[in-house]
Amino acid sequence: MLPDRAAMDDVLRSPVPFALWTVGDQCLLHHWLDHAVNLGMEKVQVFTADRPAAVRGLLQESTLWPLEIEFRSIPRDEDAPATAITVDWLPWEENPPAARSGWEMLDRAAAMEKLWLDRLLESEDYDLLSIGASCSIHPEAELVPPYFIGDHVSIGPGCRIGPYAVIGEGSVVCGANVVAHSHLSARSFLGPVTALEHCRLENGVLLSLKNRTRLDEVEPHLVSSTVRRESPVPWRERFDALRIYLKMRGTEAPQGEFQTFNGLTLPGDPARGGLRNRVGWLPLVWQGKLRLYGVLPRTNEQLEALDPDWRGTLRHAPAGVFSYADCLGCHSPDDPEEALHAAYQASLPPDSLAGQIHAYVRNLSFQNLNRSPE
Amino acid sequence: MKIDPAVYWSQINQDGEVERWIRGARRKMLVWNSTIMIARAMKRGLDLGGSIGALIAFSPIFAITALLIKLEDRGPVFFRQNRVGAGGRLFGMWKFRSMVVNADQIKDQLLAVNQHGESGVTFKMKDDPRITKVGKWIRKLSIDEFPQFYNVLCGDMSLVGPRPPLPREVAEYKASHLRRLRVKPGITCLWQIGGRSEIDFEGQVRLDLQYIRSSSVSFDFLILLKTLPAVLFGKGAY
Repeated sequence: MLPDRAAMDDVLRSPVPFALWTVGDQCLLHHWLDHAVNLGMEKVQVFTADRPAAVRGLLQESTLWPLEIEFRSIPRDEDAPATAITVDWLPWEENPPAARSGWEMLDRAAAMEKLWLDRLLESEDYDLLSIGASCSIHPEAELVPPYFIGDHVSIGPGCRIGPYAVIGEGSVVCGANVVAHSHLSARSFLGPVTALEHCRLENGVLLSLKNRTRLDEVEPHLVSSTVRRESPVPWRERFDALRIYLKMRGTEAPQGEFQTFNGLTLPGDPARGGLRNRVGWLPLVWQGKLRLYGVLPRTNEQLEALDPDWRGTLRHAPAGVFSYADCLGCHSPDDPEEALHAAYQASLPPDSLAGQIHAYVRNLSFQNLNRSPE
Repeated sequence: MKIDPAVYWSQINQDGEVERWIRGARRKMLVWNSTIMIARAMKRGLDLGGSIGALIAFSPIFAITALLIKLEDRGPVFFRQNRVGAGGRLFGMWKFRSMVVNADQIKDQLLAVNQHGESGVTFKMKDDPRITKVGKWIRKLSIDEFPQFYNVLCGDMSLVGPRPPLPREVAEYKASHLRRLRVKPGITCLWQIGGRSEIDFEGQVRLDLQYIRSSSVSFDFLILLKTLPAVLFGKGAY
């Protein structure tokens, strides 16, 4: 069972659940899959209440392990079977008390990484496993075990890497750097003459575990990330939105505007606008602020009115102009059935129902919208 | 590189220095990302060039082998077997058929004489009774592996990389063995030029990890060159 720590994660604000955080060379859940393989298991059941779509997506890509993996989305952690093992620590170690805050979650991740590196150092293949493929390491760089350097990493002259350093895949460490007791996520950039100790550099966000500090904006020549920030709205969806917008010309949009629970201002009436609201939302897709296909946007009141189990799932689900609930005739978040369909949609990877919703939108007769309010 | 951090950071307030550093950092990231992409493109380029060249150059051998296999027992010329590729994904690997048609059914009776142990992950034995007369020769000269150049052309395999295992072998793997499946499988690798079938499974995994760590286009080229004498002298192949 992957525990739901979403509400606690107020420091790293990770887009994925805690069990999907990287510990050493792979995410925590993958360490557990390794453990299952070593125990000779053939089937694994995964339960989670926290961002099930992200977990399901990861498990679909986890073809490396010769295991039959069954995934179940549950409303709350308590709904997992009593025999389920909580995945918030490394499988071969005794589990310490659970984290109680965002910083404690980061401390926990750092402690797990330290244990993992100690274990890696004890392995007889440490020399083969501690440095990934196609790395460029300057001869003047000093590597202090234990450390782990991922694939395609460049380390410049005069660097001291380790002890307890993890450098993610594709990272660049320029030169005269010190990286100790720290974790650099994949495709990080560390400028020259910069020292990181007891830090976590995650996609360009620098977190000091020692000083309990989060730095969102750092000069890019010091630390940054080469991860291409993917646009939240794919261009294909933007063009589709433009096409639908042109098709919907003439539809009378309801007056007024409302604010969603995550701060997005949308034109229309959240309660009675129904499908007619969507005319005004389409330009936001073009601007990259809203997906074309996602769960329906909710006001804070509409979110709070939901069952607490669904609230957590829907809080993290990407909102869109058209939803799976629309295909089933539920066009307003005030409709109790809409929440059921939204929770189902939120438990699947973002694009898995896009084809079905796209077909619904294609067959939608916009001329009728002016006659019917919903 | 000896830099006094105090001297370095004292430059921070100088006009235009920070902007120059930012430009330098961006250029460095761009160069490194391009290097990674070029290395990947070169590896694929070597695979494409090598496989197309090999398919053309060995076409007479293909024709003669196909004829001999057909004449021997009238069975199919090629043999397509499910293998585990990069990231654990299954693909169909092509080979010239070197065994009798019902080889898999006979195999269960031969497990006791497996050279890699009765419960070994892989199966190898000398004088395997399932191998046909033509099969013995094409295996000795590794001609049975030649159709895999087609798999390389399709992108399922690479010229150099860990040998693709069978799904039932992967079912017996420990987690540490799975690391060899993180890269694209290949026709030849370090253990093939080292001692081929004489190396036990743990030794093979170790050599595969060594290859993964040191992989580069020049290293691939070196392995390909060293494979030629290993194939011609048939060392360790049976």
